[in-house]
Amino acid sequence: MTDIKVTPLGAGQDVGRSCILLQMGGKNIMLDCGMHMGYNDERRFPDFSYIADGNLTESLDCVIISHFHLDHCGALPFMTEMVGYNGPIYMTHPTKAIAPILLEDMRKVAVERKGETNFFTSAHIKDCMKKVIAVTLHQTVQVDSEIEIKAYYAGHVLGAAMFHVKVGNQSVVYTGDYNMTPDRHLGAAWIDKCRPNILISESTYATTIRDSKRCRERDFLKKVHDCVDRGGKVLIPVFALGRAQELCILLETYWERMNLKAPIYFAVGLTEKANNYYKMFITWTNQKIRKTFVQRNMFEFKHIRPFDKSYADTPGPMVVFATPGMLHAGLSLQLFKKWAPNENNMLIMPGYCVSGTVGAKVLSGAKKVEIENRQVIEVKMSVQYMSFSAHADAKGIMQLIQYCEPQNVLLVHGEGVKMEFLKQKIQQEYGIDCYMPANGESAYIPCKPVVPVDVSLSLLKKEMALYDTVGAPDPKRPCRMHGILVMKDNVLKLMEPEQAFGELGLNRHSIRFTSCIQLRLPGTASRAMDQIQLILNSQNTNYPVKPSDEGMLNLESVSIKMETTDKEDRKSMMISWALQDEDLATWIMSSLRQVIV
Amino acid sequence: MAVLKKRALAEYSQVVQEEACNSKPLQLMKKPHLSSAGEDELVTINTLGKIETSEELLAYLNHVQHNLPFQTDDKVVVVRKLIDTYHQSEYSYVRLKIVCILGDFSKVPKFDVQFIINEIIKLLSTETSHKVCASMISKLKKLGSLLSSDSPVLGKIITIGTKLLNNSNHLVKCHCLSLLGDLVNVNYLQGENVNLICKFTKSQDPRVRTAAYDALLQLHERGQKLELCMYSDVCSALQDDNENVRQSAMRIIWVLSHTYPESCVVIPGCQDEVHLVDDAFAKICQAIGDLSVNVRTLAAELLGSMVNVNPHFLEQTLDKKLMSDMRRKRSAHERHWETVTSGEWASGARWADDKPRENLDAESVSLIHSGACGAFVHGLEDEFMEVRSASLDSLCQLALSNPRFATLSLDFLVDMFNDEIEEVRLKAIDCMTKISQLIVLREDQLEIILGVLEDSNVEIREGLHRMLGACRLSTKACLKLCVQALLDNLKRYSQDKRSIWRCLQLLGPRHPDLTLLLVPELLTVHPFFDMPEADVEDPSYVCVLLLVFNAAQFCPQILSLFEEHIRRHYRYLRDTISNFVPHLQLIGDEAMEGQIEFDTNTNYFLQNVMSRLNQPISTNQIKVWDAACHDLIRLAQIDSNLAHGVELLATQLECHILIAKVMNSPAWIDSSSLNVQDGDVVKNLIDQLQRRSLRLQYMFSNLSTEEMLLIQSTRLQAMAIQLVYIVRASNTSALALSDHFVSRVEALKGYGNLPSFAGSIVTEIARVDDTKPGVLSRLLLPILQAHIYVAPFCLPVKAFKLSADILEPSGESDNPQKFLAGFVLGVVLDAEIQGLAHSEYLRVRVKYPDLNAQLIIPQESHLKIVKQYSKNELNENIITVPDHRLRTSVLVSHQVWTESSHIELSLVLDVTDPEVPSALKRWRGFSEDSFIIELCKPVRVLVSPKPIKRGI
Repeated sequence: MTDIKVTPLGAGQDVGRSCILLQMGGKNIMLDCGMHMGYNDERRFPDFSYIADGNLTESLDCVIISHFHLDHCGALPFMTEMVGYNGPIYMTHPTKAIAPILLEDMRKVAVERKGETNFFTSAHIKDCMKKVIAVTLHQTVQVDSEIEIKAYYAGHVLGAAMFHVKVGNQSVVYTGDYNMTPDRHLGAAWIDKCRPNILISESTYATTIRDSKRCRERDFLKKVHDCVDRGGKVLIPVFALGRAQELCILLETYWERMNLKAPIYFAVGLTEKANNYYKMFITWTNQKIRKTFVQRNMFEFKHIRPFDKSYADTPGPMVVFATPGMLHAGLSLQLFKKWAPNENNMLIMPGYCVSGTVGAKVLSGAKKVEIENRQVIEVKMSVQYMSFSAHADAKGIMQLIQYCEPQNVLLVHGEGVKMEFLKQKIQQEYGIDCYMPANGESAYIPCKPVVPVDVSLSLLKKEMALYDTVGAPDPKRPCRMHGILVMKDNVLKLMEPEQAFGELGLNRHSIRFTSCIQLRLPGTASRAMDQIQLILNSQNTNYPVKPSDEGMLNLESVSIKMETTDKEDRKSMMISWALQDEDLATWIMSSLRQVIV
Repeated sequence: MAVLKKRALAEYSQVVQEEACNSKPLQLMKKPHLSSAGEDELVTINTLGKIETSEELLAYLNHVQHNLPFQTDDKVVVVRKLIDTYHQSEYSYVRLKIVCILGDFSKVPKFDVQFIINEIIKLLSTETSHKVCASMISKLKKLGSLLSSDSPVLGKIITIGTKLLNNSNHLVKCHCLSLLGDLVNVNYLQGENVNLICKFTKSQDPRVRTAAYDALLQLHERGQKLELCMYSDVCSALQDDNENVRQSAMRIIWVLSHTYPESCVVIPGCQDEVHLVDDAFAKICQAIGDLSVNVRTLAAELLGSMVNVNPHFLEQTLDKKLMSDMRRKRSAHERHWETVTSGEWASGARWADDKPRENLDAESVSLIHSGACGAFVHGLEDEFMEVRSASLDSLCQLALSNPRFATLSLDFLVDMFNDEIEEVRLKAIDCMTKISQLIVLREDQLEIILGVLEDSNVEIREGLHRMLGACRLSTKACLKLCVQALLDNLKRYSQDKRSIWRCLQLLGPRHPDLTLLLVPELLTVHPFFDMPEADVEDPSYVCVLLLVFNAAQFCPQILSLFEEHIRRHYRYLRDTISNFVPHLQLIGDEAMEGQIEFDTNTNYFLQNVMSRLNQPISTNQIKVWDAACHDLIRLAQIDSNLAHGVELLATQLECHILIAKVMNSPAWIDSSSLNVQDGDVVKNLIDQLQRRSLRLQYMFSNLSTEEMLLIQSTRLQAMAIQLVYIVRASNTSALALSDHFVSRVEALKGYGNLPSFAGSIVTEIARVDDTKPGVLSRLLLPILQAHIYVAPFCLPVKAFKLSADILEPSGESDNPQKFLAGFVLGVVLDAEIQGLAHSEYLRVRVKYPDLNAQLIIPQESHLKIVKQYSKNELNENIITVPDHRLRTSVLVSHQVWTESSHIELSLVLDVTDPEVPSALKRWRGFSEDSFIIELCKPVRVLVSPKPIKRGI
């Protein structure tokens, strides 16, 4: 029962279709529910039949979505509406706002362009979103009596979050995608020292340490500026959301700073809707935007205007953002066709290109590119590659591990070979176990069973006061606690003895030992007692010796009494003690024996 | 619309006036004895026992606390009463308040601190509330710090502090620790105390741990040497869960690294030993990757002062091993450097430009920072500007002490020019300026830097101009690039003219040889052909000339390249903008040069004037003074070196001439001999005297105490004359005026060695109790008359005169600025102000065509102190007075006017606040602008308020 079981249904030693099944403390939790963009058959969705045939609601306790990218949330409507899941779904507010836009767009492409059937409908998306419960950063949400989740800021894209999932005493942090270096519109990922059992981390850049962001930005800006200065046109193919906003802010502020006049156009259909959300969720952005939004919301662009097809042939410099990012279709390809033959123009690829696409060909330096209908285009425009990726690099991943101090790390969302390296590093440098299960493969992570014990506050305070009064804190000194361990209703409790007896309705018995020592001491009994008191006082420093009215000496629970016997100089000393002062009594007896007998 | 205008103006020209704070009667208390604030506290304190509810008691105690210190002598009684109340009160908050009041008795002058301490100690033994206990300890700490270090009471306090450390409450513990830190005697060996505090750094409560570290820091500040052996413990505290503990521990590490820089520390895991300073440096570097912003900021700050760290470690901070897919990758900086050294330029058209090179051995890569690796790279990339700007400061500080590091850090500084937050960009530029002495800029670096010249922010551009003026360039191409960029900048932003000129003025002398190579190109000199003569009024041509002329000082060869028209231009510029153009030894100009070389004898002349001034008083003393004054004013115009002091002297002289004139006219104290004309003349003279004396007082700075007292004395004389005049010759009340006068005299009391007039006034006034105007004027009159001609004059050589120069608006523009009538228009005002000692009195005065005038307080943030990187060597003494730069937008508004009209902007000092007693604010005796000192000539701006078009 104490093992935690993690099964990636997607994203195990792979990028895309993130879907991780987490079993701990008897609860089943699904982390992300993404689709694979590379497949068009059933492989694009996770294999839900692995969990249960038919109704998933019974076998899943909750679903958590980290951010709105389709490889993290793309399969959600399919799962809820077509497979059938009615349980709770958690995501952050911006994710909940933006995800349906992306889902809808993808649905359109799949159904209307590619003519697929058996795909979820707009209504499905709407219904699915109704089931979503939105959470705020650092808000602890109680899913049921045992599951507790908490979201942390993850950078990456607007609304991306890392989730800390806690069941009983066990906890897991799932990072989703995250970024440890701040960029122009988002801050860096942050987590507190929550010390989870497992950290499930993405590892896209497991073997990369990136250069400073500033250099890249500066290069990018300088190139764009130079091109615009000589009257050229700049084409920047982007993916719809995320990087596009970052680049927009970058250019916008630069235009502002440098007083540039050349127009910047933005031709990304759905981004306009999304931009509205960017304007609204200012609290999710970085320091600069948060601080200045009162004067001016950075997402209200002054220099960036929507693109119209007719602008493509307008003479003079301009910068155009266009989708799709890999130049394989759509507006970006059209513009590329128009502008490629002019050496004054420039193409900037801000992201990675899948091989086979026009983008990849151009990047690899092809001077003549063939597109769709056997059309050959001569590429004279300058081509630049600028990487603006928002994943944590190897150093960033290590830093996150350092921040949250997990007992185990589990890597997902990356290539197997690269993970291997990082795994080795993690084991070597932090000395903790690291797992990297493949898709469908389960990792069992053993956890030390923890037995929680409730301690009553009064007992704790009492013991602490005792500890405090002894002197300065000393980490080497053990601090013992006296109490009674009560097991009731499967809960362990440490109680004060009186309280425990009261609750259990028992009488308190105590064991006392008594011993009698024959001593040879001259004088009366009281004189002998004084003598003993003197001896004890001289040796014992910690416990005060208190004479009582009846001629006894008391030390804690130890009491000493003297009785005269028949013989003149013989006396019997009676000494009695309770069980807890056994040590003290032994010590007193031995010391008295040494001196007197 | 009128309302709108009013509001717009009201917001920007409001003069905030602080009301004299009268202690208000407490609302909570209805008892009559509290309603009057001036009542004898002893009486009220006797009522203490009669207050029933604790709320009232608390309110009453608040009242008592506000009214400390008491005037009465029976403070002991008050204390006794308070302590009685303390014992009676069952509410801890009342007791807390009483303890606060007892603590505040330390403020009462000459009160027996020991007595209070003993009382508090007595109370402490019975107190049960932790909060009250903690407060008592903090009071003891405060009171204890007033005792001398060998007082026996101090020992008692420390014993109590040590004893209460065992209290179970964290607050009490924290206060005890801080008490120990503050009071433990550091001169004697107090090892056990330090050890005790050290033990508490292991406490289970993070607040106590923090307090313990802070106490250690406090001890260090007071001179206790911290033990080296605690180093390893403190290092482990850097991993603490609480950020405050981490911060305090980091400070201790920093302290230790400065105390024992040379001792050795063994690196765990291997046998190597490093110096403690290096190890500490690495530890603090690691904290730059901390979870908490505050820790990161502190780490970044502390790094800057660790200058004696091993350069090897230092250089690591800028090193971040890059890799891509397990292959070593070069950073952009390294790549850049390679292309530069290999002599080829990046083609810019390759995708795999940053292609990873060699394969890395997986074993050899360490991913967590080992040591100082990349600390600054991370710090400069941090999410929060606080960390970034602290990193910049530290980087700059370290670079200043290590030239090699400076060269390395250059690329990173340049990168910061592109930061998203302007303050950080500006700071990066400033840092660069500071280290520019140590570095030589390469062409590729310069190119990036010069790109920033296109920035639309003036501050950034001017910062960059300063930086360029201070840097060193490596090649001729660099200089050319730089000049070209500056000229482009000038074309784009013509308002940068002066800043660019200054930049080029400094650039020339730094690179005379490079300039020599460029001269033919820059001045378009051709060996065979006469090129067309450039227009000397063209600012960009002036730029080039300034560069060449200033370089020519240090490279005489340049002189021989000058053609005739350039020599002419030189003479012209030398005349018009002489502070930019150095003196050159031009061939063929000997006659003129000779004149300049000739000793002007101004000093001799000045001596002459001075000796005339200090001659015994003659019958026509005024005439002598008049003549001298005349001479001095002329002298100030001729010799710029002496100008400030001489002007001060002249102003002072003018004052005394006016004083003498007033005193000599019969009408000034006798209103009965009413000759209206005479009366007006006197009034006029007195008015003039006021203005002159105010100028004298406020326009000059950098004076010695004697000089200042002399000026004060003259001002006092002027005030006395005014006072006597008002008492004698007018029927207005002079009560407030005389009070003001007396307070002025009081202020002078502390000084010994007063000038004779002020001295006799001070002694006379001390002799009388009554300071009614009548008495005062009777007292003053004989003194005044005795001092008509007595004024020792000396020349304050170092004096500095306040002056302002409005650079923008220039007043030359003929294009009116249009705005809607009743709305506001922002007029950009750019001014340089020299020698501004009282920036709080600075105002912008706007005079409207309808003769309304407004005084606008410029925003504090718009007035900046300009750092002088290379001040004229001649006036080294001036540096103590900072130069200010005011760059603000003056908001003006006006109603409809038929045609475009001029408004006048000027800078003035408004000394109404210090000079006019508040009771006299509304008095009509002063003319409206008599307390306004003009600093410069007004500049005219053409505006045309347009009526709002209806019906849009």
